[in-house]
Amino acid sequence: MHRSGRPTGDSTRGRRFEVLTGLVPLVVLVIVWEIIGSPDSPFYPAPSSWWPALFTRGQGEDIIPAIIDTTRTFSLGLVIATIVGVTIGIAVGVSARTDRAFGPMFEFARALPPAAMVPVATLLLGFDEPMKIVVVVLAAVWPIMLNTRTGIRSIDPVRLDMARSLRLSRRRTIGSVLLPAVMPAVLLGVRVATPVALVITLLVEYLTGVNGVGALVGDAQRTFQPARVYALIVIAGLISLVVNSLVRSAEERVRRRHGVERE
Amino acid sequence: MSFECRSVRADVGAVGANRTVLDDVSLDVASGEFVSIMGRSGVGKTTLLRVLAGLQEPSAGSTVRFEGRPVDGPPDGVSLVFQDYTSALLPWRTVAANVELPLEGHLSKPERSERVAATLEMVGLADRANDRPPQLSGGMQQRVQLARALASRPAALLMDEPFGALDALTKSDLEDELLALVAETSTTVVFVTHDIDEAVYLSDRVVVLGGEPAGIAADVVVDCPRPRTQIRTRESAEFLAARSRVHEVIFGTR
Ligand SMILES: Nc1ncnc2c1ncn2[C@@H]1O[C@H](COP(=O)(O)OP(=O)(O)OP(=O)(O)O)[C@@H](O)[C@H]1O
Ligand SMILES: [Mg+2]
Repeated sequence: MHRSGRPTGDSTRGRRFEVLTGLVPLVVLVIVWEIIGSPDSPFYPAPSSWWPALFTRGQGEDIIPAIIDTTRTFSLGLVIATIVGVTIGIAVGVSARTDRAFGPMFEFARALPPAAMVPVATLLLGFDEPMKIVVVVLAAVWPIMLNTRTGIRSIDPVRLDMARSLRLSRRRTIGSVLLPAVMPAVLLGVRVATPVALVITLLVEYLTGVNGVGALVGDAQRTFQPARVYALIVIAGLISLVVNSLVRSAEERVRRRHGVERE
Repeated sequence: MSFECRSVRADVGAVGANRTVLDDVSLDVASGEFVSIMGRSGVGKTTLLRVLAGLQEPSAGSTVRFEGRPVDGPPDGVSLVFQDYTSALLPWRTVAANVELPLEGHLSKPERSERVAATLEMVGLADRANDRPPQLSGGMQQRVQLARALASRPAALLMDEPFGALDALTKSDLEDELLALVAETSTTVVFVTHDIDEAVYLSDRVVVLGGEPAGIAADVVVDCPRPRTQIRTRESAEFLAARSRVHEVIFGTR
């Protein structure tokens, strides 16, 4: 095992620079848009008109609560998906029998498009926050579960022999050996699940009109306020940016702790 | 008696696709004895060690005992040291926390810290307690593994090519440290190695496995007095005699 390529001050600065250059096309797009767009266009209102549009017609008080709603649904959904995904992933990862028993069911559930669950979920759970969370969990749980399963399977057999020969209890084996060993895999799964969870949160809100930024987008669209739609989409994008960077830094920290190089 | 094996048979591989690796292995290891297991690659040394460690169940009709009790699962008082320290140690735990692992749930926190400190002192790693294994050299990591194995004060140590991945200098250092430690604690050791010189230098007996399925091809007693020293012991007539005997058996069983 070689241990080259440790993160240094230089490479952090390099990455920051990359992020900045990555923003260039976006900035160019916004500028061009600003020049050719007009505040009254029904399709492409100029970016400068987006922010004020949040507050026209006595609106604006609903923005912060909507952000809170969306963030809560999304994060609760992701947390529950992580707990459920890791639990199932470990169960099917350690036992081939459990895997065979539940495999087909998981394949089926995974193949269902999340949007298709919305009508069922509203029927069963009503137009409420739990319904939103359930749909988010059903969409976000798969990458976490699959990554955990793969992670468990790729644990070196020597490590399992070690746990057995030290006579660790089942609880300690899971808590001190299996869970930490699959952490990088779990976080990779969470990283994949994060945008899924956010998209599904917004989609459910949009489809059912139950609170959150997605519901506001639906409203704005139905009442012909394109600038407001764009403004809300920017807000959604910002939420996603923040969450992604949080997950990434958690992942980075765990990888370093495991002595694993950055990919 | 530490370990007693009577007509041990062991299969490896999946059910249906298994093959018999060990057949009719009978072996006694006395308490405090240092026994090395040798034999060409794939002969079944690791398998025998896993059977002794209670990690692998031998076939019906085999008897394996440790201190008089039948082995069914890893016995209390037996510690295992693996060749592959990267997998055997937990990189997310510090050196001290790795050594502490087998004590958790058995000793109180202050007792554990004391035991960990004492054991790390024994293997000369007291100053690296707060590092993580990947920050240490291979020899140091193998010392950590040894410390973890010794921390629970085992009656017997099972070691599977523990120094196989180390350079010659580190290896002879660790050999001497191991000898000093087991002499001090009168621990029984069963030691798998590919290195004839190492086996003879360390052991009271060298057991050679041979055949297919493997049985015991030879059981060579090493008569060198203890304490042993790298230079004097290796030049002694007893050492050379045992060494050529083992050599003969290994290359004769091909
Ligand atoms: N899980 C397994 N599945 C199938 N065959 C196995 C398995 N483990 C070991 N074997 C086979 O059993 C035989 C004995 O293996 P073992 O690991 O005990 O040999 P060894 O003497 O320790 O070899 P080495 O010196 O290379 O470590 C080998 O032929 C090996 O291919
Ligand atoms: Mg082996």
